[in-house]
Amino acid sequence: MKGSVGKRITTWVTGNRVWRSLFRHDLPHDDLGRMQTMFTNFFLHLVPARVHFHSLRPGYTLGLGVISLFLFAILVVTGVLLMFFYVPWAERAYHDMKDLEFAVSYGVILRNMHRWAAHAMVAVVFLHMVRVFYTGSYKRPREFNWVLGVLLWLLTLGLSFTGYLLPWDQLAFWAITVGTSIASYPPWIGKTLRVLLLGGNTVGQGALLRFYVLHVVALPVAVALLVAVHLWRVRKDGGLSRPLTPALPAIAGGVPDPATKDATGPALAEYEIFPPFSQKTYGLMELAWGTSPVVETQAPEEEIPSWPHLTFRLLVLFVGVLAVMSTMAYFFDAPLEELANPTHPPNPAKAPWYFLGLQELVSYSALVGGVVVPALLILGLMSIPYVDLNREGEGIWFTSQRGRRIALACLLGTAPLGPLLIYLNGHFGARLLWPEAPQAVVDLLNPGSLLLFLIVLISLMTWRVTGSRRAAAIALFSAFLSAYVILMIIGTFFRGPNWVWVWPWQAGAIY
Amino acid sequence: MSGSQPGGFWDRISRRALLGTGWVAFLFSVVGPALANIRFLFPNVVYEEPTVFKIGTPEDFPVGTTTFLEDRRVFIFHEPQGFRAVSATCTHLRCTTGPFVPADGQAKVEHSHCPCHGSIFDKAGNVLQGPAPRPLEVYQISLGGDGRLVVNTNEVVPPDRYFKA
Amino acid sequence: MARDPGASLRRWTWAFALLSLWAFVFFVLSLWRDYAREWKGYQKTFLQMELSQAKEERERQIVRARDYELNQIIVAGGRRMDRCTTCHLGIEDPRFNNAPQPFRTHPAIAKHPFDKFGCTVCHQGQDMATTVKAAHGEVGFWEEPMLRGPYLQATCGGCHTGAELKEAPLLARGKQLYQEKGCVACHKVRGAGGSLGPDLSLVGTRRKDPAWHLKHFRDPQAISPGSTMPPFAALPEQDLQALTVFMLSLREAPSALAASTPLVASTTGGATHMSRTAPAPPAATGRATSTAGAPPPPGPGALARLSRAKVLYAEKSCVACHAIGGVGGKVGPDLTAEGGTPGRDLEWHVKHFRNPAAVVPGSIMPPLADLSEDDIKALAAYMLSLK
Repeated sequence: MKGSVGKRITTWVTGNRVWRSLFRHDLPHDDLGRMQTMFTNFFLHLVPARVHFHSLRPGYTLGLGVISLFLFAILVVTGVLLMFFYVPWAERAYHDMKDLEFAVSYGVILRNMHRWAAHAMVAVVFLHMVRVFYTGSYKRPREFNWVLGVLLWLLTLGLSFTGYLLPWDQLAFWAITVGTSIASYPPWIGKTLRVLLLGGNTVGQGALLRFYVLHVVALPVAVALLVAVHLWRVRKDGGLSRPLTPALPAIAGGVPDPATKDATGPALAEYEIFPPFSQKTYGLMELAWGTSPVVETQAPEEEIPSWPHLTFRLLVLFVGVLAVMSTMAYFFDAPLEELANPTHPPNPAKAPWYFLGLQELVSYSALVGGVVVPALLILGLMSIPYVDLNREGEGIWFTSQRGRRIALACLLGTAPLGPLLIYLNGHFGARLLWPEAPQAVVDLLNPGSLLLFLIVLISLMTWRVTGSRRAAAIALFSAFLSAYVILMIIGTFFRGPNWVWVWPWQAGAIY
Repeated sequence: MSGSQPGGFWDRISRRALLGTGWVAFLFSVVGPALANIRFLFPNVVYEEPTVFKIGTPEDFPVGTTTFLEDRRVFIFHEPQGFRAVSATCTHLRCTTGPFVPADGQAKVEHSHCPCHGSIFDKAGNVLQGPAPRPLEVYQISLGGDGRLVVNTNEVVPPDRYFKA
Repeated sequence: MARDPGASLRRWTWAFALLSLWAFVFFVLSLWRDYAREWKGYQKTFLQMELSQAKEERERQIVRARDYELNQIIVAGGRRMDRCTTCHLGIEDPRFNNAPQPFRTHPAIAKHPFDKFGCTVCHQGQDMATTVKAAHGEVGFWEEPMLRGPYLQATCGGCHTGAELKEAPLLARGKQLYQEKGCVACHKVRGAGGSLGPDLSLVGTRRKDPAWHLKHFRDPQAISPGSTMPPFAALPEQDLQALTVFMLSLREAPSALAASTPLVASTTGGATHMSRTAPAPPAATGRATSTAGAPPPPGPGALARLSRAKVLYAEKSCVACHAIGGVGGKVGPDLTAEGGTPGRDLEWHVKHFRNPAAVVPGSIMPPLADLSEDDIKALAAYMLSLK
């Protein structure tokens, strides 16, 4: 009885003209239908009609790019809602934060969601970059997409940084004071950059308004634009990168390569496979590889319809991100300290967590921490695809067994270097042994520059020994990753008042 | 969470049940927050004039007087039968109507003229002329614990209601 | 999709079901957290109390029809948004005289209507909060805890700067102790006093927590390392409280117009008057009555000069060395009856002020070199008036 009523309603709803004008095709039942669904829908045609099975393996991409996108969507939605209750006026901003906490329905949850999604996005975007690097997915023709990715990472940091000021509490005010001061270190452009950011010489109403405009309009639009190009590029580059030989060759008929064996992904056979046709009959939308649309008739069909395989996984990932963010928003409250007080800096005054590594370096040398390292970091990252020219091991984590070993060795080996150099600096530092040392000496001989030097040395040695640029790149990247994370941890947990070394269990270090 | 063990718990639940549960829970998790977000947009506190306010002791409003509290947009009438608090917000498009002045040619009668579109009201709040669709609202007036009169603009009372202090 | 799928799709389907349920559960939890607010519980209790107090059915209907809502009093044009009345619902209703807190009636204070002054101007606390702990300021990152017990007198002195209030005896005692203990020798208050220690004119705005002041009085070095302020731990508890009350009272008035009367109480008597010349907070306009107007300004002539002399006396730190009526230091002679000392007329005092060592050999009193002729004469007249 119930079924037939339900069925009648469904038929009436989906049969009438209004519905049919909106959804012009039924849910697909065959391959042709599946294709149509993907490229006749505005939102779905962002994604290819058919996708290579390798791209769907969770262990390959970890879904990090998609997760960043979903986090961005959550941030935009919660951000716009929060805008209805926030005025970027120094005399009102803090008051509005308190209102969100006490007087606005759902205000606490939305604010928490926004804050934790922001931190998560900074971390996930970074991890996505790490994944893309280790799978060698920046190689030709994807070089520019990698550069776009680095730019997107910087924009994400910018979004987080500009948003950090808006609560106008002590945490916000002083983090931005410190952050913009670090930004003023580069020669020639540094001071100008700071004045531009602050709309003045100190953090005040000018800074608040500019950061607000950057945060809600300029940077999100820039991110949306670059993300669009970034995803477009993924399509035009032929989809996600993958190894040239399929992981499970049983279908392919090739010889298994033990170096590329990856046990975490499902076998091609686990997908619904449709009997290969001798000719592809779907319409030509693009030419991803090759110079003609004719496909070899003996080649295995490696691509599977995006609907439902890709789309379903995207849906599940989205729900997962929503679930995790809701949990964090429920249990952990976003911080709000006292009202910003320009005459009363906290001790220590710390930048946001993703800049604490830089702040640690700056505490030794403004030049190294504020100028050299960031510049080298960005330029170095962007130049990787133009330096690493061979195509070996693309689409495979760490490229090869050797790559895996190099990565591990550099990750683990570099980790203690930072603390060791800091310890040595504390006892045998340049200024300690030679108090009148000129600044240049201090800039040369401090934990930051020495670490930089060592990392470059490790990389060059790797190149020498292996003769492979890719191996050298893996060494460089892994060492940098390790040093960056360790310095960030030190800046967060091991630095207390006056930036002296403390142990995390001593009060005052953890923010 | 391997689905490859035959006959395990994970295999016994049908795909239909899983998808059904998933979709229902998903829809609630999306539609729910959407509705909550709409509730979010409705303010619980407003930074406007309070809707319940004190105007002074009964002695401040002698019998037979009409007081126009402009900031509060309310007329206080103290007639022999008692107090009335009449809204000064024109029912046409919410302009503040003018003070009560003698009507043309009738010295004893006073009218309020709304400056925006010309509505004219009498002391009872009735519309004598103009586009106003309804009479002026009469608000509840009472005596507070400290002896001062309290006007509550959230409570509209019948126009013939007087408050005896 | 009707066929039995591969293991991967199955895993993902399970993930879909579980993650969706998880997201849904936390949505419901967050709905509950938002709905079940602490203050609603208090309003419910109060409504029940009102119901039991209601005498007629019509009253009961009105009470039952009420919604849960946040109440707030906007004070001084938005400087404070007191939400205390969300829970403290009976403060103006005399029927709740014997009710337990937070519902008890608040004693009426003449000329201080609650709907104009709010609550936190006197009681401190976190005006915008809607939970008990947060509203009472007993949470981290809020430096203005609610004042309890004797400390409540402090805020009276925030506005009523010049006068003795019979409702605030501890405040008066604190002012007196401030003079007695020679604090004025090192600290300035409103222009009067020494410069060794920090200016205390607005210490009550910077430090709103009584506990901080008590700690500081007992052991200044523990709070401010390197401080040369002597500890006052030996003072009895009452005296420390009084001094704390006085410190807390040294603050900006809520409408941000600083008091203009000098520290020393005027001789016009102990009338409680607002010693600001600015108008009182806005009242309802029209012919409705407003709150008390500004007090009459001090008259010209002798009274003014006497007041000026007292200002100078405090400004120049005379009290650090000389005592009047038991208040002051013991370095120099007691001046309580100076006016009656034979041989010392106006001229003597003027010469003495200009160069003490010339008039009294061996005197270590510093000359008051930078004072105008009028000021010196005023001080001299003051000396003569001390009988």
